Amino acid sequence: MKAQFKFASFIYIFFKNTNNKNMIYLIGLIAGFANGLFASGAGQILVFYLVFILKIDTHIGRSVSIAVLCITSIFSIFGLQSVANLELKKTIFLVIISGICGIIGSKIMHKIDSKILNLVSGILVVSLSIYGLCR
Amino acid sequence: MIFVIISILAAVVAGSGVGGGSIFMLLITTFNLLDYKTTMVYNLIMFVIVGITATITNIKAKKFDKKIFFKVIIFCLIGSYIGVHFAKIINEQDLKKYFNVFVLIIGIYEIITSLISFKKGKI
Repeated sequence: MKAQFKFASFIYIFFKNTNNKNMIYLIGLIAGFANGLFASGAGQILVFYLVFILKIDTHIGRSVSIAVLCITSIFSIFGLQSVANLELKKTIFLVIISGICGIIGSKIMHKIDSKILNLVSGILVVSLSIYGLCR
Repeated sequence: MIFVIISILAAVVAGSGVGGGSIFMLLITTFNLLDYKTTMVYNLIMFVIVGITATITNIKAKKFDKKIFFKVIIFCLIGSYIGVHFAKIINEQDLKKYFNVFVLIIGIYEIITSLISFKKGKI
């Protein structure tokens, strides 16, 4: 638990000092690292920096984050596929579902207030991660 | 069936850019449907497809900034290369714990920032 606390403190201190415009490169490096290491959450780092620090329009920030992580994920898949047990049937299902739902999701993003989406996603993520830690 | 429902939910959330990946990973591992590293790769596959369709839709809607995209992409790829290397050598249980702490911080931050923007009426 000590190591996890140190890790959490590091992330907090880091984000407290990110008001420099050149930090975008370092944030990109960290988001890529998170994408490779955890395979998720990287988008939240990028979106947070672009929207809340650089004050870029929310929708544009999210679009850029999706596009960047899409390319990064391709490279991460090649790196991690040797340690995964993929099933063809599940992969095909996932590809079809993702293709359809990706369009629905991006249309929702343009229509629904992102504050609500953020809040719902935040509550879900916090509850599930607390559950995961306490298990 | 649970896998399909989780995939639909996560892909819609991922397409809207509010952390679909975290939801997919957390739900799959909570229900113990797959091992952690396999879940990571499925999540990445989902994100590639969602990313392609969502980016096409976003470019058509003129909600995209190429300049920022090219600024970030190279560093993201370098970071990803390092991250994948670490993911391979770190023990699965430790990786799971670090992941939970990581998304917990992100989730708390999401809630706080959305509540602040609700209050300010911004973003």
